[in-house]
Amino acid sequence: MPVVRLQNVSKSFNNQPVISDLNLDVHKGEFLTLLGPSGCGKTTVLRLIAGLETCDSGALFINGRDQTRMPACDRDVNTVFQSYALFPHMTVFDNIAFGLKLKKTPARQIRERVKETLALVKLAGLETRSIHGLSGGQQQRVAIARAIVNQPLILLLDEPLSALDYKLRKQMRLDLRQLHRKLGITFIFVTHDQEEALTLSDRVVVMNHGTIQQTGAPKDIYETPVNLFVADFVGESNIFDARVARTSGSDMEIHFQGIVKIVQNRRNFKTGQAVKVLLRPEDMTVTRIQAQCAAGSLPGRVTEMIYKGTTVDLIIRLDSGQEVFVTEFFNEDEQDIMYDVNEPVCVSWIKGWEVTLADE
Amino acid sequence: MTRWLKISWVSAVFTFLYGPLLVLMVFSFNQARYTTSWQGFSLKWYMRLLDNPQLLDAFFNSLTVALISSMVATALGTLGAFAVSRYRFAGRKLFFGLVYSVMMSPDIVMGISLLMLFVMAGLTPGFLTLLIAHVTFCLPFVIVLVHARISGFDPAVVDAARDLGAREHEVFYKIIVPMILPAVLAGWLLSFTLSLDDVIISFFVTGPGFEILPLKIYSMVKLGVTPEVNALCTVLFLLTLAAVSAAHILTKEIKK
Repeated sequence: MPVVRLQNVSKSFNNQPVISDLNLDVHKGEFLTLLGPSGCGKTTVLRLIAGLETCDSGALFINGRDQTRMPACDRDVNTVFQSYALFPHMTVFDNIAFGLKLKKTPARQIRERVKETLALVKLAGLETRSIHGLSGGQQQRVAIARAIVNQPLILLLDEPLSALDYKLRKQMRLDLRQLHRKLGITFIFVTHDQEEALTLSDRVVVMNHGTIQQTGAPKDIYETPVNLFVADFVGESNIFDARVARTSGSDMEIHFQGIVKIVQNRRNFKTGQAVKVLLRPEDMTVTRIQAQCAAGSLPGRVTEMIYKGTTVDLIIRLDSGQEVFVTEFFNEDEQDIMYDVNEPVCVSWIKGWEVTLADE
Repeated sequence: MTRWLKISWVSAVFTFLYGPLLVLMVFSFNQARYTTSWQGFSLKWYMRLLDNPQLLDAFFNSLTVALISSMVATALGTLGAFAVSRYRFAGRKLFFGLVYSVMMSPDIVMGISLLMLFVMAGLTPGFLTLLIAHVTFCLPFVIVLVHARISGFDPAVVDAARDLGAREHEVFYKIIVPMILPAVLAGWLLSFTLSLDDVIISFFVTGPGFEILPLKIYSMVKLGVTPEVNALCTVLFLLTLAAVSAAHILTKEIKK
């Protein structure tokens, strides 16, 4: 039984649909990320689960019980807000104890649990501090502590890392994963940062315009995007227009950029069909031109070389005029991956590493 | 050199601001009548104040009006500030503009227009008209102060409280009230001082049956500035100072 189930949920604000007929199951104990550009409705999904918004239509089940109309204060769900939303007139202790006090928990138990939780978020001993004296990272941890101290069934996190600087964000990412493992409860995390989504989650839900584009493990989302939006939003892609010239079994021959190449036909494309061929920068290889490029590889010239320590990023202008972005890794066999600007090269990839999608 | 310049500049400013007040306060303790020369320390003018029933009446009338009008203005103003900041309604901007225009309009204009209104409404000038007038000119200050406080805090804290299990009334008492309280108190104290020392508007809207302190002083001064008036002004000044300092401390709290 899923811990949260959204069934045909729709929601609009001022007659502007934000979520349309959305279905989503969240499994117990998983780390689920809602990923999408701003305005895609991901935060609204979170607020619907929290009970801070109500569905216009459809139903919402938490732990199997219909809670579509249940007010926020009665749901076994707690939220970490993007702005942290700490109570400025209270100390750290009073902020964290707020939920427990409302539930009339005995004072001694409150003290113990606040103490434990503060230790869990690495803020031990800060009970009496005022909110104003805390750094952004500390406020973030208080916000998390205030939510998890209530031992909710589900913890909702609304872009909690977006206000932190890069180093702190990386640290918090690790801490969140550890916290998830220790607590064993369900985390639903909202972000527009694909790197965050890929590194943190058990499962990623990619959203756009209020609908789910793709749901899957980070690896599936990255390696086999189901449409151009997902491919473009998650990671970088080089996209080629191509036409299927011939199909044979599980392979097909495509014409693009003035060349012919055999690729895999996973989606049962027909001869003559227009397709998009997607390639991740790291899936393409660059070789120095010998007389002429081998069959199935694309000639071009290096326009930019960016040295990044472990990798070298190349921007290559193909002879057709299209620019591609290629990442080359340093490895033992092939030391010389440094190229000169304007050096003629060939770009190719191993058959099967491409993703082909119907031209929409 | 610049240091000396700074010090003399600051002292000049302070002398200019507080010199007159200081003179008034010092001479309220002067033994002599009708003279500006110092004749020795005395508290007799303060004693004289206590023996003057008319003056005490006016003083208590002033306090009554200031207390009631400031409380009514605070209650209405807080509600008004809530309406403007929480709800989006037609004419919201206009409402806010009107609030500021009341705050800016000259006292004499306010006084005459209120008088005309009361006459047209058939009200005899007295306690009630004075009270209404004072509530009117205090209201904008409360609205502006409380509104600034409300717009200063993150609306997500209300969501956070609900999310943590607070019902509507708990959100109100545990979150909203404590957060806006400094602004409400500051608004109240400010209204109290505004009401306590208003002369011009009160001059138009009160009647002979209801005398208040600033007007009483005004009429006393027509016969010459006596040490008695000095003593009275000192009392009034200290009262206002206390209220203003309290308001200031509370507004400082707001900015945190």
